[in-house]
Amino acid sequence: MKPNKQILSRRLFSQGLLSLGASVPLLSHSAFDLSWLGFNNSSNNRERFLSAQGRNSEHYGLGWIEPKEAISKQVLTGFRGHGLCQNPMKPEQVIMFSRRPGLQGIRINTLTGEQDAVFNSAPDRNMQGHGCFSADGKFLYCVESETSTGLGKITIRDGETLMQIGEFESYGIGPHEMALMPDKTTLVIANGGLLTHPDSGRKVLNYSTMRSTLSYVDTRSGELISEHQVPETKASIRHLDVAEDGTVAVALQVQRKAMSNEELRPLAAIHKQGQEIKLLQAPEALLVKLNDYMGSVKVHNPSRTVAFTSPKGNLAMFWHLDNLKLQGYHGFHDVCGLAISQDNKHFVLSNSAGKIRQINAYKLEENIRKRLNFPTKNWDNHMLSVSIPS
Amino acid sequence: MLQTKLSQLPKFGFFAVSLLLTACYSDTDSKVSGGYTELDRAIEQVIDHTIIPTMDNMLVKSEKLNSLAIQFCDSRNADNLLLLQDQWKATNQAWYRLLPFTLGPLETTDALSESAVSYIDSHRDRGNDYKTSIRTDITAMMALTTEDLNATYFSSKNFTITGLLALELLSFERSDDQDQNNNAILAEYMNQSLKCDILQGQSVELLRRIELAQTGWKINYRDSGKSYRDLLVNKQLESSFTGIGDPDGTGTPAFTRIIVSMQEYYDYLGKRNVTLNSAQISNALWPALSQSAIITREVLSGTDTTTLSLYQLMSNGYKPDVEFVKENIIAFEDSITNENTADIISTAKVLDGNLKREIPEALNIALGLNFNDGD
Repeated sequence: MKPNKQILSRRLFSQGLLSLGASVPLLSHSAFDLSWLGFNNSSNNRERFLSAQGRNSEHYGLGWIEPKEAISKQVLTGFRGHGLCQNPMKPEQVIMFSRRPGLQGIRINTLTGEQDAVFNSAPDRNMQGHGCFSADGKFLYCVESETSTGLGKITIRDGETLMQIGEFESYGIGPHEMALMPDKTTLVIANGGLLTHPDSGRKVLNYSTMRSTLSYVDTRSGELISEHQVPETKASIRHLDVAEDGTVAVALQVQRKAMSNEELRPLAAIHKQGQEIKLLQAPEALLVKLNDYMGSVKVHNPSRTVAFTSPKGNLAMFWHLDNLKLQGYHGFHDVCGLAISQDNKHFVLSNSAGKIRQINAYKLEENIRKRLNFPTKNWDNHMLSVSIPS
Repeated sequence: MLQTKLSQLPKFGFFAVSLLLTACYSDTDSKVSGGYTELDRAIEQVIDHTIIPTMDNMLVKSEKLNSLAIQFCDSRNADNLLLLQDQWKATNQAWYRLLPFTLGPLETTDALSESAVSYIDSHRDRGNDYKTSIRTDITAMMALTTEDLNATYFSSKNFTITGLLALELLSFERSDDQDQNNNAILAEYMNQSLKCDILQGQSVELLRRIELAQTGWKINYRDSGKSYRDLLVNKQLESSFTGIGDPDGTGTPAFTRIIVSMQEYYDYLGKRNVTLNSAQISNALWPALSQSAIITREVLSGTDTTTLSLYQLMSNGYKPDVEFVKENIIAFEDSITNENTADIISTAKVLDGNLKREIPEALNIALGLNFNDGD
């Protein structure tokens, strides 16, 4: 663990927030988990799965389906979306961030199905695909990058107007996914370590010097609390999810081009406070299929099971958060999207062929009756499950 | 040092947010998969006119290899050794013709076990060279008895010490000292009859695995009562194999399974030291690699009986891509003719890219948005 490093004036930071009428977030739970609101427990509520979708610029959009009705809808965006998050205090509001390096995000109202806002990156900033709300919904944190330097930035936006009101460091290069910790004030950030520049698209410019970290940052001060690395320096920490007890599950992508050997590396790991990151082991026969790539991760808290998806391996894999043992795996073509169903019983998997499958989170068996197929949809990397009033 | 941007806040407001109200586009997709398309027809012809005949050819060659192993052991002489060696080369060529199609019966049926292809060609999966393991195993077997060396014994062997490589070492070198002179090889067989038991045991085991794969393609796949061909063409794999982790239940379309298998083969050629490790004792790699080029061209252009080829479908707006791919196959063939390892690797990588991008795009098919272009 490295010592804290203050790069932001705490006084200036606090003044800025107070002047905007902000308060320190009071509510617990991550922005993705709204079960504590009772919002998704009503039998009258409708479950929706949302995802960026589309194969080309003509079709890029935010799509959603209602599994019970087996219908799908979408809003066209003109840009390729990536991660999504829901406002915990206004659950009808869902944000979709553009895929890196992007410049836009949108907000839709899930009640009306309409896009009601679009927001843009500031000059010399570009979006990195993910973000999350503060627990009180007053702030939207966006993962961005300083275009000129590649340094990771967490921009702070007003939760309602989406206007940018500040920013702090991600404490790394190439930040990607981020989540709020159960203490309501700490963000855990996956700094992938890969330097890119919009002028050269997604080409990695720093294979030899890449440095990927898992950073914990205090949202009140912007200070780095701690940072952690995995043993393989060429493994990029890119996606993560947080369990109720603060255990962080991270998905890795090994940069084989930067390595001089073909030795397989674990692609899943967990981090618990006060400990080093622990890699999750799997049989070599499975690891080799993953092609060095895990694309998404999601924790199911009641079963203490964490799921990872690898579209390059056509596999979803499941480990136990406490004994760290592989519990099972499921073959699914081009699987990447991953969410928890609103009944809190299933992992929801999506793929780019427009298919949805649900895996019982306790038995880790597929409920085949819940299969859905939307052949004209191409579900992109991530999926969000929400509940909306009927 | 980078500072907070609170001091710049007023500037952000200018461009950061704009509120929009836009129309919501909706559709109500069917839950039923699409019907039989032109691409489905073309792929069905690739399967029937190219892949299955290639599988059949491998079976024929393996059967003959086995019969010539028996013939050699019945009558151990220089002529029969030469026939055995020539047939190993022919079988290896048939294998390289089939190698781009490591799907279905040649792929694993359980993600945790080794695939059938590994038992036939141990180098294919991870590029490891197992010659030393095989030589050690042959030495160990020479201390056993004929009764020990039964079919069950060979069927239970690890993939690292079976298949074409084991048969190559048994056919092209004296086990005692790796002497590659045929007189030395023949003398060893004359003096140690147990080596013939090993040769025949490995030959039978190879044939058994090829027969299993061919039966799977044409008659009965994984006790489903249906051939892999029918399950694939009729899009029934996903509904037939629903077990957790079942690789046949992934829902991967036939086109994707075939093209990804071919792409992974060229990725393998580009990454692994095939020209340094494969068919080296027999000195028979280059003609075998030529078979891969021939079959790749056939998949795309079709055969005499093909009525709708992938090239024809691609030509609908993507003629430059068709020409590009054709040129790249020729370049790959040239590198084989010139026996140039560096060119093999570079041209294989180009074809790998063609199979990932140009060909699927020209056919308006996504191999997998997340597979190809994750984040």
